[in-house]
Amino acid sequence: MKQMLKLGLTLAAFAVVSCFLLALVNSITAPVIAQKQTAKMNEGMKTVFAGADSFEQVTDYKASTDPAVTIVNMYIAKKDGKAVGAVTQVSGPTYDHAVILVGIDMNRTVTGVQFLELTDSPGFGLKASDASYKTRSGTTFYGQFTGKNANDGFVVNKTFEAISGATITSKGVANLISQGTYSAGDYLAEKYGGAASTGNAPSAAEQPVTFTFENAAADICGAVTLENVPFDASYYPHNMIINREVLLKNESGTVVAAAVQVSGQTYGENGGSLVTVVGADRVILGTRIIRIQDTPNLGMNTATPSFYNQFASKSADQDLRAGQAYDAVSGATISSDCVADMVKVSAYEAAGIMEKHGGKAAPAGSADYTLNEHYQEE
Amino acid sequence: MAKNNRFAAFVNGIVKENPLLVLSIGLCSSLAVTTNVFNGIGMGLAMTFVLIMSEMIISLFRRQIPEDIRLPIFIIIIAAFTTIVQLLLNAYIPSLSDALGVFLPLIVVNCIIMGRVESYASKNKVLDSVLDAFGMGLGYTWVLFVISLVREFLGSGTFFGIRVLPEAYTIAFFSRAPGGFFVFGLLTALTLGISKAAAKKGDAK
Repeated sequence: MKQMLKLGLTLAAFAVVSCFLLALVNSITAPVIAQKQTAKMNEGMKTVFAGADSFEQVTDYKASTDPAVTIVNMYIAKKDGKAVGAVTQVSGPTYDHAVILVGIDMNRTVTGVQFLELTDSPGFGLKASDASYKTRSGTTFYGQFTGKNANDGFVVNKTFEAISGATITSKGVANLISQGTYSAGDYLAEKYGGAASTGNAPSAAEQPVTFTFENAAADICGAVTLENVPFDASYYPHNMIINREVLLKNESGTVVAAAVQVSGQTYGENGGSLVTVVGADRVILGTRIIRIQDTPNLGMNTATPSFYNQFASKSADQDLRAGQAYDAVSGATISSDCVADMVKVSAYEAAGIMEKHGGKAAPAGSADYTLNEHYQEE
Repeated sequence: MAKNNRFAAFVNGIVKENPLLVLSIGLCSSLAVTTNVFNGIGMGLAMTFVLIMSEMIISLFRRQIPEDIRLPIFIIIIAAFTTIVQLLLNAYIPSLSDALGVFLPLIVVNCIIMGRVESYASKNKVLDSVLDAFGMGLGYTWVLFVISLVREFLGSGTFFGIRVLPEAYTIAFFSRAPGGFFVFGLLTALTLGISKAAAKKGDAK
């Protein structure tokens, strides 16, 4: 007991002395740091909005639509007492974390972007705030946003150039800019007659979603009852496994569609499983991902609605080839193509079931379809 | 302790037991920040300061620190000095603290400090510990300086941010992590080679 007390007290003594020392240093440096930051802030505001002579802080602005991003401050830029634009201070995740200032004028055109803080990797993400780093168009990374209109959106490698080796930082910064300009633009439109927004609110990055078989059927067809259909479990079309075949019936018991779940390779062996629903006219009503194991932010994005919704309203008999029937997830071509192959196989199977229940017959030669086939057959 | 030994304690860290090249500890921050000379030297000096202060304080109180809880106490002391460096840099050299980013707070977990504190400062007198820290810090700093010199010259074509090589002749490989390992590996081989040759010469005499 005595020993424990001694240890505890020693530890406490060291902690207290250290705290005292830190408090002492902090009391000396805190005002200097605060002063530097205010100076940086004012200087930053002048650089992101050169045409203003004063800045008035406002607080009743719209919050960011991305929960991870915070709009810390907003200032209305004024010239001769008249509002000419706004500057927002936005804080949020990049690869690590960034705080930026972004200015826009009354037309929602970006007047400048400035970093107040960026804690990404030196040599990579930190290039975003580096004045000596140049994009291919000769501007700094943050400088390339100047003159861009927020209504056009900030899309990587379309409206701005990402830093090679630091795509996540680049996209993160663009997201902060979108949030800041959207909120500021709407504030200006509401109170000072600025240009209105023509696009939707910037959304947080699309997240992959997976469904159960039942939820997927309900999501595609609404209220239907499911009736399992027996199938040949030893039949593996294109090395895929058929997990389940189901008839979807409406309230009066009429068969409206058939759903087939298959599992197969994506980027890795047996990486995913999905269900495709096909109607009587052999058209895909929709497809949903049931399970996917892949690289986050890349192959996993095949489970985002913007990817799998591309297959809806395609014919079950057409080939689903990359670039023609659908756009692959950027950076995840193999995963995308494998998912498309699974969609094709499940859709053709489902169309076959529908054929037996009053659906359209398969056109001649349609059974001989080709797939993207990234995998090697052993 | 004789004067000679004190000098040995100081020189030890510079080549013979260089923390990076010979002991191979504390590598991650050193490879990460050495993309330019300014960062390399800045990191080296920040690290040296924390090392000297921590070794000094720990050596001073080495008899008061109970064996059982020495590690938490070391951590408290190291963390306190790291935070002090961080606050000072934030206040007076913000450009350096911006450039070093997350690696500045990470000095706390740098194994060079923990290693020297545990194996040297907690067992030796204050003056020796300070000299050891000074030598180790200098050993760390010069290696960082050399690595960053090579990497900045070949990778970015600059020296302290001043362009000396046209951009078209730079090799981006050297500003990336593999380039860091490459330069570090060559430097390690060179140091080992020289010290081995020197040892042989010594034997021959």
